[in-house]
Amino acid sequence: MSDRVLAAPLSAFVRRRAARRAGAAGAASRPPYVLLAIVAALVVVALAGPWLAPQDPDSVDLLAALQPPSSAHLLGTDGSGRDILSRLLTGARSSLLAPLVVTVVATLLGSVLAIVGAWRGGWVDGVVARLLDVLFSFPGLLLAILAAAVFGTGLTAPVIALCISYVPYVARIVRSAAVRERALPYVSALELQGLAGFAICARHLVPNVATTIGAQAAITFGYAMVDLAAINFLGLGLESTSSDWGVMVAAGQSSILRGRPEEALFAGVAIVIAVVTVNLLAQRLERGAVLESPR
Amino acid sequence: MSRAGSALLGTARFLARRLPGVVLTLLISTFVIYSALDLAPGSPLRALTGGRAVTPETAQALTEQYHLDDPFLVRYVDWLGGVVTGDFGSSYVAKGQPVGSLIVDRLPTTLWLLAFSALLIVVIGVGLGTFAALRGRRTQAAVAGVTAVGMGVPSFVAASVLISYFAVQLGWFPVFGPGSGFTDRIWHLTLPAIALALASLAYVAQVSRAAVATELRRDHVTTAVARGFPRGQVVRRHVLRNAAIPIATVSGVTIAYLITGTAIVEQAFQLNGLGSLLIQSVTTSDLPTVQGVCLVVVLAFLLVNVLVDALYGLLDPRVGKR
Repeated sequence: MSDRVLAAPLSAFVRRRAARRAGAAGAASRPPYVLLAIVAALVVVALAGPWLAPQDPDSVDLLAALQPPSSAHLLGTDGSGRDILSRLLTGARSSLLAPLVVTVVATLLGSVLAIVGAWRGGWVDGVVARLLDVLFSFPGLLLAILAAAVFGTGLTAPVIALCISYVPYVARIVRSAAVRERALPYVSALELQGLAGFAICARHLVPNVATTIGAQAAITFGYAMVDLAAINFLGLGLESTSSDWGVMVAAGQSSILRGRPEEALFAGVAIVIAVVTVNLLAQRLERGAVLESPR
Repeated sequence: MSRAGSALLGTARFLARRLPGVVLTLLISTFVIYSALDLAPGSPLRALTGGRAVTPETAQALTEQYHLDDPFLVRYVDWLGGVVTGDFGSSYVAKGQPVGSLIVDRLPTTLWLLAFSALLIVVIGVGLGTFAALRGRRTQAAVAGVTAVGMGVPSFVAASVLISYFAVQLGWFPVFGPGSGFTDRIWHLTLPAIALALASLAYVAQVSRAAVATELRRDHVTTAVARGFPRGQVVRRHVLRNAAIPIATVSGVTIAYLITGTAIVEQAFQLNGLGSLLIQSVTTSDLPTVQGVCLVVVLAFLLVNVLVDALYGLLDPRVGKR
């Protein structure tokens, strides 16, 4: 009973002090409304894209192929006369969901490894560090390509490969934040009161490094999005008829040579908007902190 | 001992300490790459032929050539022994051509592309970041904005835009092919190199800007300015020398990651380099070639990382003394 009463204000105090320090150093503390609005829009499109699409994304009309943007087709048509806007809206789901899976898995795995390593120290930390070093030496995209070579095309193998290869980037950042937190006096105070290590981590340490984890998760999402789109662009992921954004950039290559870059261009812009938004969000979350880029 | 000599010695000591780790990582990487053959669905024989139907004689010959009847570990050690002597096996799909010669044929294009991109990153990226940090607030904000967007542009999107505008609409550059001879090569590789470098260049510019800006605020810089040293001298001796340490590290690591990025750009511009060989062999299920290229890429990646560590040791005299 007593530990809870005593401990809660203590770690809350530390957090408040940290927030005040950050507030004094950083400028605007206004929430980034524009970025959040873009994220909300992306979520809506990922969930409801097929119903938002003005036309059937797969209806082929060769007579209407390669049209520039018009009132009938807001973003024009592709080489088979399919409506580009409808394809973009439908393709949002796979383009955004796959990186989300990678982000969630890599963040969970990496954070758990990092916090266990930082908490236990000693040989546990040493083993974790060695393991991560080995993973570091294998670029994520290469592991994903190797996975596609072994297990055939499709998105499952590359997604699993990226989940594994992004773990060290998350773990390294979270570990250094957790080690710093572990050394703070409030942790020793809680330990002295006899609170179990797991409880200290779950109730105090994790909440205090949550911004770091969140910022690193946002960065991870951006890189997962680029790498998975690259896998799709290379033709090693989803089928060439899919309306995934990476596939659309690849499919639009031949139209570019015929002077109609709309398909590749708009799909590319969609990817860039998503990636830049999460990158900026990460910067806002963790102002001044060094984040790891998984490439 | 001279200063340069002791710096070299420190670096050597630092590298010697890293060596066991590098060898271990390389061993594990080769293990992962080799086990791809056995992880693939079906038998290793099926993986070798990419699932193509083969006559019993061919199957027999392949089984003997790759010692497929031996246990996995024995085969792995055999293969590793071959790799160390430069023998990567041969590609069944490419009519029994040795994988080593396939790789050597493709290497020049990729090396040219990498060198060109690395040059762009170091000159423009570091230059832009440093310039922004030394100028006022407004330049800094502008560069920060541009680089934030640049970092989010994947190489294949950059490639599409560059091809569409500079090759198709303006016709300034060729669309495809690597070119031959020095100037022709540079002309052919300009767009691919920009596409490959863009995101990394923006990242390096951002890191350089932050590093120089941090150094400018240091007490010893204020002291140097207060003592009346000329600004150029303070910037060169106190700011840039210290900022060079993080900048060099980040640039090096970023350039190491370009090695895998070449696969995408070479595919987009239809260059016959190592990266497009990798993708080609993945799509034709040519596993021996995939293994060979992966191995070369991992080796190059590790090598660049070790070089960056060495550079770090030379730039920062404190390294290796602890």
